[in-house]
Amino acid sequence: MRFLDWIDRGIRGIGIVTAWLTVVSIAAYGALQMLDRKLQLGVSSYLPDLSTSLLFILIFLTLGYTYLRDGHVRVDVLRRHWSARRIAWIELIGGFFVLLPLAAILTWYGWDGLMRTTKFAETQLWAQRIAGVIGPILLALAGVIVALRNIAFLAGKRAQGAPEQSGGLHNGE
Amino acid sequence: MVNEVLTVAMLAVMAIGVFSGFPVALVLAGTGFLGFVAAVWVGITDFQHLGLIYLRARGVLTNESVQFTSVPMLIFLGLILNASGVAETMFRLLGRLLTGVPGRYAIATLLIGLVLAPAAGVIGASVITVALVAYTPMMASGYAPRTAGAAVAASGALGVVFPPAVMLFFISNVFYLRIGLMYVALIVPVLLMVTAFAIYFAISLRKTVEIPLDAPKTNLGSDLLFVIASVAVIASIPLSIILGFATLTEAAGVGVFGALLVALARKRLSFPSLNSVTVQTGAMTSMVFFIVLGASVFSLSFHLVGGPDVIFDWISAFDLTRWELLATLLGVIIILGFVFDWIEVLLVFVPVLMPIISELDFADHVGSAYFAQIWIAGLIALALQTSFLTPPFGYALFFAKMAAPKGINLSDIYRGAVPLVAIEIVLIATLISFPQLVTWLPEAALGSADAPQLIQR
Repeated sequence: MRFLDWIDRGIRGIGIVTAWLTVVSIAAYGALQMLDRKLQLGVSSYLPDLSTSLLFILIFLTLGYTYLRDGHVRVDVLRRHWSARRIAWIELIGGFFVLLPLAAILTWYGWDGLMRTTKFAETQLWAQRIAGVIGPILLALAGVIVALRNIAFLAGKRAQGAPEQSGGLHNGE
Repeated sequence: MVNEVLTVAMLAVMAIGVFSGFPVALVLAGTGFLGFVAAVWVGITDFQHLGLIYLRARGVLTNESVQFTSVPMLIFLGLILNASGVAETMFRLLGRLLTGVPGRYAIATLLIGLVLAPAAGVIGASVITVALVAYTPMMASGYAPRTAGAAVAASGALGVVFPPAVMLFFISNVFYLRIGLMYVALIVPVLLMVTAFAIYFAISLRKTVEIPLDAPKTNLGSDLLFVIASVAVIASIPLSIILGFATLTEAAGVGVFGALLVALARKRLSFPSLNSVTVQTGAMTSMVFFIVLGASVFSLSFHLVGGPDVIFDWISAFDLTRWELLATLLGVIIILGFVFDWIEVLLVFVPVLMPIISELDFADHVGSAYFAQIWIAGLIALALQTSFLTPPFGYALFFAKMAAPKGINLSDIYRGAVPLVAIEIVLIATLISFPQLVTWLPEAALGSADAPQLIQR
């Protein structure tokens, strides 16, 4: 279980660093582009438009993080009335039959895409392709963590299921 | 026959998955994959093509002509403003300004909803902020629990369709409309709605006597400046797009820095809060685009098995007139909105219904084909918003309950919301009969010289 917490912390760390690097740069780039055009500084012709790549990197590298923090939207019309055990079972089944296979497919094609990237490609394309491999792996790791924690919960070795329903992201922590 | 079976099967699997409470994005992608496997099985395609689905889905996310980068910017902006405490200050200010108006706290609550527009519908935090400041004075002034609850819920739902809302960005994408025009199109309808709601609250609360707020003594001038600055930051986004100064991403990027300055000036921006806002922006962006990814996998497979054609044939079999079709469409959207978030309705169901929507020719009623599209997109936005307020599933109602003090039950909020929903439906009917209410402002903003072919009668 200690080991899981380390991976958990690693995924969170990557998520937080990615969020800072990408969100702030996209904002700065957007603002700079507009100012540049209005004031005719001519700076942006030297800067490649990275925002689309940054967004892609942001999305992929925070998929696992968001899953760990239960940030992915669920329809809880029925779920809200269910017992914690039932929810943990569903999460476990969904993890094995949906999340992990999907992460495997995404990793496979991400790797394929990375292998097809030539050394002449732009740096931002490389960054995108690398994120396209790492992101699904992080998602899979997050899926494994959540699944193991749910197994521990169902076996009575853990106080609550995973991902923790702390109300979380949508209620502003 | 095969197509029909696969269509029904895909929709059924998706419904079961979604109601199981597993993340919607994963359910969509999983159902899409199963649909693909089924399509391989019946010989429509082969496994070689799975890679094409991946490439298509990746292409959706990296398409530079769609300004997806504006989504994290609007969320970021919304979260910063929320952290800066603008809702609270604005409530205090409006509460004081509206002295003498019956139901002033309910009306102030409504108006705050408009300031929350940038990220409304993505972040629930803003509704909760409203609830925290608004419930106490409303209850202390003796408002009925259902009225107070309904005011908070309405406030949470209003921003979703007011510029610069994220939802309007996605609607304009689905319909290939200019985002600036889409923003402008909804200003008049939303203002009409606010007016109607305000009149309703003023009449139903005419007998109550509001007690003054026991707010901490604050500097009225700096409060006023703060609120004006925040509103200016938000208003600058649609304005600079419509005036052609900037694209949505650029305008939102500038808006983010404006909001940061405003929050700094208010001394409400510590490093921990900025950190939490930034990380939340990242996670919510990931959440939104994971659904975009899942929805595109689902749609590709659904098209592969011929789903949209099957649904088109089913609906065509009823042989409805265009008015009946429009009413059915809006009704279906309202019902879908009970269960799904607007993201899924717009990215999964509206594309599925697109063949039917494009059959609807209202060019003669609205004035031009392009504006007919804007009009229909606007009606869909309002239908979605109505479903957020409609008991028993509307999400705004749950948020209104979540932060409610003791003594306000969910059933109170349900009862309070019913008249508001009735007002909304009357408003939608009015907009259907008088499309000018939607199209007048965008037409004026566009100017006939700019793009005569769009306005052509």
